[in-house]
Amino acid sequence: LWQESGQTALENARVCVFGSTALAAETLKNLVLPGIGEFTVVDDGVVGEQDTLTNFFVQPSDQGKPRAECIVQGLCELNPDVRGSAVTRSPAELLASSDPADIQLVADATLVLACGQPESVVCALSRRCWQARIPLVASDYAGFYARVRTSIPEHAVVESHADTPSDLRLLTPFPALRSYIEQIDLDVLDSTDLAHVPYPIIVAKALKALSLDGDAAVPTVQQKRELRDYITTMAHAPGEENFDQAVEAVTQHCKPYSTPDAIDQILSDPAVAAPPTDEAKGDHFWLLVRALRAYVHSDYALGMLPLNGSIPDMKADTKGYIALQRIYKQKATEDAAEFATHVARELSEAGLAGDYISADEVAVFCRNASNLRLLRFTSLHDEIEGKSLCAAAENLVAADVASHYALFRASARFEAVHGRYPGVTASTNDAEMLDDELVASDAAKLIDISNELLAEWGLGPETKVDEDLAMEFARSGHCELHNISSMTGGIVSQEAIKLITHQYVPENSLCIVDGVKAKSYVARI
Amino acid sequence: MAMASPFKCDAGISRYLQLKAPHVEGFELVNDENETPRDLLAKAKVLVIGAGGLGCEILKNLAMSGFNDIHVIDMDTIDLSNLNRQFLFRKDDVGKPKAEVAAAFIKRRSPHVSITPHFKRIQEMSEEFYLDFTIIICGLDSIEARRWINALICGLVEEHGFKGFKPIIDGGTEGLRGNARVILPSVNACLDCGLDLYSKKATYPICTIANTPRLPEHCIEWASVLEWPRLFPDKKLDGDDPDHINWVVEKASARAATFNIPGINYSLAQGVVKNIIPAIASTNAIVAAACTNEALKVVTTCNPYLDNYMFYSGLDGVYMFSFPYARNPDCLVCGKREGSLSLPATATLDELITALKESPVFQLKAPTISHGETNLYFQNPKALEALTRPNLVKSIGDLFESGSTLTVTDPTLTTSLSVSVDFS
Repeated sequence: LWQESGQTALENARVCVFGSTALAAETLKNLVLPGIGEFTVVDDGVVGEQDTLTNFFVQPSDQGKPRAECIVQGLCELNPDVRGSAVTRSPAELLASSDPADIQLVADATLVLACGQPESVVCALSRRCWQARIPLVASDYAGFYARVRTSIPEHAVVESHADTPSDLRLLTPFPALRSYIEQIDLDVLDSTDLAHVPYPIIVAKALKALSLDGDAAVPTVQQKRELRDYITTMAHAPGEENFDQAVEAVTQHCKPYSTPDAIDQILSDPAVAAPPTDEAKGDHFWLLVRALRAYVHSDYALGMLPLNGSIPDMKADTKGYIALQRIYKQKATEDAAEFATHVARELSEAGLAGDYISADEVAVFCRNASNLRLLRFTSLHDEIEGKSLCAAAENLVAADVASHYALFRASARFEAVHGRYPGVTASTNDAEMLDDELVASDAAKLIDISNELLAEWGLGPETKVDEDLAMEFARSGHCELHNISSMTGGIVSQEAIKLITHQYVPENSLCIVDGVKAKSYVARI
Repeated sequence: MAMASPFKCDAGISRYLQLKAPHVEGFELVNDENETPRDLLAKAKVLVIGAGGLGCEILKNLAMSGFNDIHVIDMDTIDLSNLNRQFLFRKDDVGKPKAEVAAAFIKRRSPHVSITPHFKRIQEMSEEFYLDFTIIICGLDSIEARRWINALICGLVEEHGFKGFKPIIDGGTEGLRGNARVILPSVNACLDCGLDLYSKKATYPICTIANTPRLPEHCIEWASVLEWPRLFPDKKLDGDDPDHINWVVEKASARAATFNIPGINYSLAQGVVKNIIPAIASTNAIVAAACTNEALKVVTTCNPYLDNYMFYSGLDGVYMFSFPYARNPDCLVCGKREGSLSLPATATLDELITALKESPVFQLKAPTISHGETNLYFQNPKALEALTRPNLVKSIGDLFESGSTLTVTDPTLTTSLSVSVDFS
């Protein structure tokens, strides 16, 4: 699914995981199986009976042993090519340390995962990772609910694998396409051959016949109607598939070329002129974007992105299809070569070697020029410290997730005040007594804290927390259910793979998993 | 209360089984039969169908969710290519039955769980076998197997009433997408009600494949769909057999060369023949967890269960939503079990059979047809097939009258269908 380039990125990646309960282990399982290069687990937890009941990667005989070591051992069995190691220390303690080796642990990571960590640890990690521009994905749980949040200043996707309509340039045919179409005479073809003419040629002929093929021509709604009618008369018999395809193509392909909005935004982004320095990480994105902008503004390109060159399958005879395909491929090759000269110029102006970016990478970027995506995030530490939430709070309401989010945050605040999570009687889950009255009264406290938080974020007083949901959170006692951790581990690992391979589009930035309603909510915060 | 195996569940699940939950409709700390949610979980007997990518995840989840009486059925043995997803298997296990190795792994990991493997095809097991279970979870990779178990389970309710009521939780994945559904036979939509959700992907038109190929896929289909059956009429093309795929690559490449079409390779050929998108661990994890999460809720009533179809996609962000798929009153399995066809009187019986296979409503595999007392065509046994084969080329107008009702049986169904045929 991520091809060789993605697989290489995975195999070169180093993932640093804080936490070692089921959530961490399940996330890692889905990274170890496809072949992540290296992973480290940081946690000082010790295997207890509860771990043997919820965490598949510890063994019943592991009780009393350091949990991080146990899951590393269980996970490494899944793939002998993966290198895994355990650091049996508390995440908080390690992050507070100024020992260079400890700092290197995070600094060397390709990606950092925080699984079931308290807000203080997540905040500290977020600062470290944000500064170093290392993607961080933090996840945690509360019974049937879970939360996933990605934090990285920016993330560029070149290979989004999105479905985009083909760029056939019918309204503005490039010279080779124009002359190829001109030398085809539909009038000398017999019925069989006519029924096998690829539709782009039919549409082009119709445009010419109705004098709509001039340089400034943009067919009006009325003219498009006339085009469709005319195309129908061109056929020898009704119901010919290629003529049907031509009629359909009028809507799609008889409109002026326009660069997708997302690309326009990227090309005019301030970072194009002043990119963040990421040479150490091999991030070539902005350099390539600068080259792309220069290309688009050049006389050669006439304001259009490089042609991708792929055409869809269509009703046609083999020879005609292949010939047409070759014309588009040739133009794409020429555009790619022209683009490469702009890249070379950017490299030389930056004082970099000509092969600093591989020819392959340049070609992939060029092919995907219409599908580029740039995601910008807010930092987790800004969110937790409340600096960015007021601006984003409306997104939570719009996504129907304000109550869930507030309850996660309220639970953390409750724990900071009372030294235990809502609904839980003892400080560890092992020797827990179940107390219905405590659950009910803690739910009431959760409601108050949540409503305070919602007001702090500028959402009160119309926005109140869902009281049944608060009851569910108190009922959960912030426990970890294996099914939810397994599902969340699947989601986190998939986001991790997207962030490492820069393929497919990651979620920006919050996802709440609802195991009661079997759905997820996403919001940008 | 004596248990078959000692029941253990983690403190988290215990909270959901024992705490009052006034906000959850239908949750009772003791039900009408004097059972607690803990009792329901302790005595639940779960059947897992499939011990592959989804199956391994499902078994792990069940063992980690307090289920302690699990059966798993799978007819396959372990292949080297399974090891990058099916994490209960190791290199030394290649060649051994999946169900047995998976069960042994789970047993070692969770000694208090009773887990029984069946190295069998689902069709080999008796009705009594299925009647014994509380709930069934499917991690299958074929529509036919899904339809078979769905039809069987729907039939059990009809025959045995409540005793035959077995919820099915079904999961499927494809690349970065997947789905899970909760089927309550005779209550909500069964699998066949939503057959169009599983419609076969459109294959290429036969004239393109035969005469005007343009894509490497067309050449591959030519080799696999036309040439293979022509040269090996009695041998089924096996997408998992490298010799078969290599043959396809060779023939397709030769054809592609004459048409100047580039791009044929082994993995493309295999993908086209098997019609597959690669499976990945993360999506399997998500869908399997959704299934076992629903199983826990269905069995214990601790929270509302999925009603009734969940869809997940990781292609662009994270997208998971669920909706109630409606029951189909005309469903061939749980509905009226009748259908109709309209064909010209001059159509042959063979063409009628093709129509039954290709129709999105029926999607039958190898139908056997009779009209009243008359056997029109038998797929099996060999002797009857030979006897009725001459009917295939006869026109249906000669075999019966317009408006007749035919009785049809098929490997995908466990009971017969009535199909009325009108001459158009």
